[in-house]
Amino acid sequence: MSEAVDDFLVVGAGPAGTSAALALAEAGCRVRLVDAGTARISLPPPGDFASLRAADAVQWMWQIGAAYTALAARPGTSPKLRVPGFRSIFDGYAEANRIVGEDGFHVVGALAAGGLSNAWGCGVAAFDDEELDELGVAGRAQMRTSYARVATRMGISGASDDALTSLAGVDEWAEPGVELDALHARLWARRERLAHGPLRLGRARVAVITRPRAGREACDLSGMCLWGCARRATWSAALDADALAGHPGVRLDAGHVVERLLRDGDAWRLECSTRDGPRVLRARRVLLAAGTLASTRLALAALASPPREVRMLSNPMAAFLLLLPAALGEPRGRAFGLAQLAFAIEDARLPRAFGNLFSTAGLPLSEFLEHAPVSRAAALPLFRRLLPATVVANMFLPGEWSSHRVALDAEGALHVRAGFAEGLDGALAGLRGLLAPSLRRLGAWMLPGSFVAGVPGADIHYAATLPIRAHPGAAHECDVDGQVAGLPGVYAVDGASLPVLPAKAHTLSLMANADRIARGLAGRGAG
Amino acid sequence: MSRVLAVTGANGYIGRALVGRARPAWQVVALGRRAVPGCTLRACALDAPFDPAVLEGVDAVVHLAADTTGTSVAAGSEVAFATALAAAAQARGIPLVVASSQVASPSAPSAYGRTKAAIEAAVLPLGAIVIRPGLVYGGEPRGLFGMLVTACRRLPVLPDLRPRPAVQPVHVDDVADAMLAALDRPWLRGRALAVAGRPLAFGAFLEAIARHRLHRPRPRMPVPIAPLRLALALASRLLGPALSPARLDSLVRIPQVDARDDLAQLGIVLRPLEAGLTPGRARRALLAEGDRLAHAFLRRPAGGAVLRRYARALPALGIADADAALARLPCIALPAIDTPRARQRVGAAAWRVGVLLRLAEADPRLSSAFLVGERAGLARFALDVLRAVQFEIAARLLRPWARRRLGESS
Repeated sequence: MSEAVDDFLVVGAGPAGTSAALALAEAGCRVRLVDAGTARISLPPPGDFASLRAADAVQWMWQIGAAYTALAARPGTSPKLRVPGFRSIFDGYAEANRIVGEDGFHVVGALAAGGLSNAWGCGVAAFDDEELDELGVAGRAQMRTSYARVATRMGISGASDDALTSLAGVDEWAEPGVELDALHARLWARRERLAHGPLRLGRARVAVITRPRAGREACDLSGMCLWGCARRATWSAALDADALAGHPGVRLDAGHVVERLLRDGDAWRLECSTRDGPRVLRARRVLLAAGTLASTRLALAALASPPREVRMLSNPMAAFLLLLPAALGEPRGRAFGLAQLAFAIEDARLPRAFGNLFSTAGLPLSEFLEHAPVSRAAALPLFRRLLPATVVANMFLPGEWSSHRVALDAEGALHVRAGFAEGLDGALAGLRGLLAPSLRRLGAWMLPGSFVAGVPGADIHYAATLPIRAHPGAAHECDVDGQVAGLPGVYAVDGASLPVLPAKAHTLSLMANADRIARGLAGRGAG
Repeated sequence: MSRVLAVTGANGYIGRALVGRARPAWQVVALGRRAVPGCTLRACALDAPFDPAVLEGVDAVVHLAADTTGTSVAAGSEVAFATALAAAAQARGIPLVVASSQVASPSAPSAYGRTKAAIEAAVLPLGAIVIRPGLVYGGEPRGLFGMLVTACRRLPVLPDLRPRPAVQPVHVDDVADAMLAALDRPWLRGRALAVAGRPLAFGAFLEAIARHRLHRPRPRMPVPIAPLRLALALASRLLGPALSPARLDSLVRIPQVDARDDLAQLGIVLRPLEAGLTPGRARRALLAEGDRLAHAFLRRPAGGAVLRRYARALPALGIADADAALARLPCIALPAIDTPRARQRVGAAAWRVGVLLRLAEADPRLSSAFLVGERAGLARFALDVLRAVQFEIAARLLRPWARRRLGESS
């Protein structure tokens, strides 16, 4: 069973894997892209949320699911994880990749082409020079090129001259944002009141298109973002996976879970399990993009003497509700369902924080009733009045406020132990104390009891287990080219190799990093 | 568009259940000789060469057809059929689930068990997922379960076999759900998974059938196995092979399995035996429960569609029964049971409220309860605040009493 040896093999067809594979293919390299999933998300019918709610007789099929999936999912997590159409992509990631969450760590991953970006919040931002310090001058310059390539390919919007322009750092590639709904327009109109305060408000920069492109329609404010965009206005790596499938230099193998990496002469052997039984692939260069946790497991298990445990970063998060009393009783119009506005907090006494504000228009009321402090018989008549005047917010803290630990066990499974930095609760309380009065100046009241910290891992921003270092010390660190120190020819190109995890959207950066590493490899050839 | 599922043996005991569970998410094509309600038919037979063209346009296959008596179809042609089917599914890149049995073993006492072992050996390398159900029960009294129900109905006392063999009963709908779940789990391909309940003495299983299914509790009488085997040998001569001693042996010599890991892989929670044996009664109780919750929390009738979903959703989530204590509380006291903490426990009364509300909100007839009309004035808003306060006060006043009522029964 001697397979030919591939020059380049990319593991995983999520945002990182497709970015790397596209960069290699465009440079004329032959690439094999393997992905575990064969399923695709199922999209809801076209139309806007309000009309579908009023008219679609079988709407329970996309809201609850024929197998009642939405009711079974765990509480305390994002409503995205309960959407039945996404079930096929989230299911089985931890089992297939042998990942075990401990101490309450919530493991989320996706097996389908497109990876987690099938159901992401679409937030985009570029890391600044300080955040990319480990990459050195040349690496940072390459990242600039890669950011431009990736952002232009996705189509992003939200450009605006505001308090977050430099923090987001993507406006040169972005279109103006989608139209704000009435609630967000109210907040936005009062942004001058925040001048000189610690709270900075800006437009959300998101990977959603406001003008049609090949095979995709512009956002029409259907409010269906949570359930899946039938117009494909929101970007997902599944779009790139489709493009790659038609590329002559690319071979896409679906339904392959890579079990193990073994050194084999001057190449690597990849033991895969597939629907047709075990299969062995061989490649000279392996690019790991299976999702931070799966990539980390493969890399650690391949090391001759793996570290006992390594640190993993994620963004500790919280969520809360804002009521705009002045908007009570106003009719609800069409609204974009992902982030419309974003905020950052800069205060010397507190950690930096970044957050987004969302419309509640596309969310079921029963999601909110679940958290009512009183009986739902009483909460229902009240909540249905309040919700149309309510905005949801999330907030992320820098990755250094997390201290998750990952370690291999004797059977080769990866255990993720949840941990947060000392003082996180105090920091969150401080941020809440600062947010509430600042937001009141905008005419928004934080609803009492609505501020909730996320369960560990619920942010799904897992990163920096195989971090890029200018001078890699430990065996599991990567050099600037993304090569894992102890594994010549193995490159970590997903969240695993991000050097840091600041309080901002990180997907664009891991895509740009994958693009940068792959272009570097293509330039040097398969040698 | 729903995906297309081809099923062999769709007319059988598991087949009928599978078709019912698969739709409407799947459009079902029956591969067989006889039409099946709700399915389109494509001609196919176990003892004829398999024609891969029957899989045209099919997205997944479940192979259930088998000769359960081990006599009417040559074992060789059953194996050949399964192998050809698996090869065709593999060539098309579509998932295939093959029904086997807990008794599948090259050294099984029955031809049935040996044939199943040969089929497993042939289809697993071709990427099929093999499901090995325990003793399948529930629903229509068919298959081995049908025979046991008939026996329990006719016999004045229930045989308590000695030494006590253990069976691992599994509800036919749970088996069907497991097979459907397997179709969407490509990483399970090439594996055999057990779908079986916890071991239970055979006599206790018969007693459960008599008590819960037939509502006729019967005394148990110890019956040593050896003479019974002799009697069956005689009976099979007179009545045909359905009562052969081999059939008894495959019952008393079942290898026990721990199916917990496999069930977890499939995401299946088995329903309790008692609930599985009383489907009609449990379903009626769930329908009534959903209706009372709708009156209490939405102050309007839920309507048939939402109630039917409620009565299906709970068993699908591993909750087979209505909450007996909840049924005894008057409607006016139901809001009292809904506290934030009580909602967290799956199956608790307050958790059931959440299920009903989610289902109601996803129904166009009831969704208005969750929305407000255009331009609601301040007066209406004030009215709603008053209503909310009034409901909460009532709930709090009634809570100690409701808790006592709930506590008494648990």
